[in-house]
Amino acid sequence: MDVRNKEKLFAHIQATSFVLDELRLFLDTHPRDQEALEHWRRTEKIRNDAVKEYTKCYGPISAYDVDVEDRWTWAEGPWPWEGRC
Amino acid sequence: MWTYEKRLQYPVNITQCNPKLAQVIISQFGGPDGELAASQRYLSQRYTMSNPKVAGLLTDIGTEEMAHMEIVCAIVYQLTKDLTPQQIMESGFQNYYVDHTLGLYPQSAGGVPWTAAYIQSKGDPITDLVEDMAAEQKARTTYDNILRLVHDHEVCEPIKFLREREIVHFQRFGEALRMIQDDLDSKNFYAFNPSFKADLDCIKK
Repeated sequence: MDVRNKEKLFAHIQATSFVLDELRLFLDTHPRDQEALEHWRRTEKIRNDAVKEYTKCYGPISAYDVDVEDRWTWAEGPWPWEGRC
Repeated sequence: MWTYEKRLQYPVNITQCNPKLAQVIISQFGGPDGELAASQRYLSQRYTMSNPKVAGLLTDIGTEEMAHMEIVCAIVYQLTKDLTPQQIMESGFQNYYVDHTLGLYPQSAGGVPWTAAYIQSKGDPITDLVEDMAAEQKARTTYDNILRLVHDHEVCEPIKFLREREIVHFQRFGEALRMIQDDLDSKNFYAFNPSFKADLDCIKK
């Protein structure tokens, strides 16, 4: 497993997710702000691509994306609060 | 409906334990101005919020507060991980330890268990939003107070992130209050409760 790529990809998901968290609240009170809407569209696509690639290579972030083979892997650690995750 | 994502909204990677600091920071988990109170306040208020956009904002901020609760808990967990009995006694952590070991329990820094009495859900949009704006400022002050006591960069960074979110939420709630007021009579915002329209017979309109 390429740990550096894993960390880089994860950091990318974290950053783009936060942009969406911030835009979501802004758009709740500014629903017609075209600049913010464009920013949302752009960032959402980048995040989706990163999540897809991360899930494929290193496992799911969301329980809907668990790849079921011979065993259930969702509840295997490490969990986010343990740090270095 | 909620779904869980296996990630913190802001990373927490603490390598140096500090039970003294954990006892202070736990207040932002279960204290009067903490993240548990914030999430329950907004997620309780949203049902009777007359403006659907503001109900959406309460849902989204309430949801983010749950993620903040997880960040605060991760900080406390990592600050107290693998403590020895000697470290527990030396840091004054024994009073917490005797009741909870190293488990996370929602309480204030003073040891008071979390209570719904910390929050209000009044069923009046102006009342609720003014409460929410005050709550964001109280939480911001609490983070200011914590930051004066923290010297470890690994603890400081997530706390600074949480503090900044309080300021953004305050701004959004201020905008929400204006949206509510735009729908009301500008000469008398209090002529009626937009979420409960029965007349106040004894007050002259």
